[in-house]
Amino acid sequence: MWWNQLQEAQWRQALPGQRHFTINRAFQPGMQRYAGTSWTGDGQDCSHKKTLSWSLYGQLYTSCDMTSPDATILVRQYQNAVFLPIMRVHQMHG
Amino acid sequence: MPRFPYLWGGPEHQVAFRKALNMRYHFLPHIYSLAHQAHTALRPLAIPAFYEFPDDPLGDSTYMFGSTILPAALAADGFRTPDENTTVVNLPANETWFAFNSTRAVSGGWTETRHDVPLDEMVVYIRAGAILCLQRDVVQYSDAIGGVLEVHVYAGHDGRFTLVEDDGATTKYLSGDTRSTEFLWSDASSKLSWSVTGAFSGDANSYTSLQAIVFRANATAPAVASVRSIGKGGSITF
Repeated sequence: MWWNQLQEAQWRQALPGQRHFTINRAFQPGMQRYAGTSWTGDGQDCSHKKTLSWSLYGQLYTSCDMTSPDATILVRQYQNAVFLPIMRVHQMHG
Repeated sequence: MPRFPYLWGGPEHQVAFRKALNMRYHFLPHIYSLAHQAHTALRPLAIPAFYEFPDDPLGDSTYMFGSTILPAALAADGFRTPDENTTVVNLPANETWFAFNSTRAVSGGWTETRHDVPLDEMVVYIRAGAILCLQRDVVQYSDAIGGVLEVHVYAGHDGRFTLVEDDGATTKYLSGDTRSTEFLWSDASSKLSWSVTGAFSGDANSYTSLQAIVFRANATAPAVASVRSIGKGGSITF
């Protein structure tokens, strides 16, 4: 969370009046004050349930990353993400 | 394997990817307004159904987006379904649910499972009484939104929704530089009305005119009406 605090403070100095946005891998309660969003994991295991529990802990802007290397599952992940707070493509395969 | 998803799969995948992306843009004004609610009322965009249906036994395992949108769970969701063309959705009881963008409606209180859902189809249900604020014209990037606002009304109950607009880039919204258009649907009189308040006077990405579409349960077709200028307020009786 200090990282988020630092990022936001630097942003405010460099670009006052502009909105700040960042995506983080880990979530600490309170980071949502510093425009920190997060994604729910590098694997294929995101679910509505995960996004919802994070919402209830205060982190409203989570992303179920669209990560599948399989085209059909990826299509379904795109469709799934239309109705999630953040829609984002991400993949770790080489 | 190439790094760009739009090179994967076959032509039917490309159609499906594009449809999903366009759907997201279609919903942008609505999602943006939900985000403002999150800021002012600390209301999450994604909620368990028990927020809206506290007595429904499946309320804690049913996902909603905003208070009126109920997307089905897909296989890639990791939640419940066994394969990627099967969807499962719990429809809360004591409510009428419309298939998005259609007059097809069912009563709630059961779990719908569908197999072999076509690749480009998204299973999404909308609650009776919902008002959705959508970007009508297809755009390629969020800097091009604005112009005609498409307002969906799913009849059956009275409804209300406030569209919130701001400059999209600065932090001026923190000092109230926003514009709110409150839409009200009176089901008994079939009337959609709206009134506009707020300091933000609009820019190139604001909505200036309106097309309203009213879906009545199982009617043969929706009712459509347009208004050239949203102005400071107005109404349409259907």
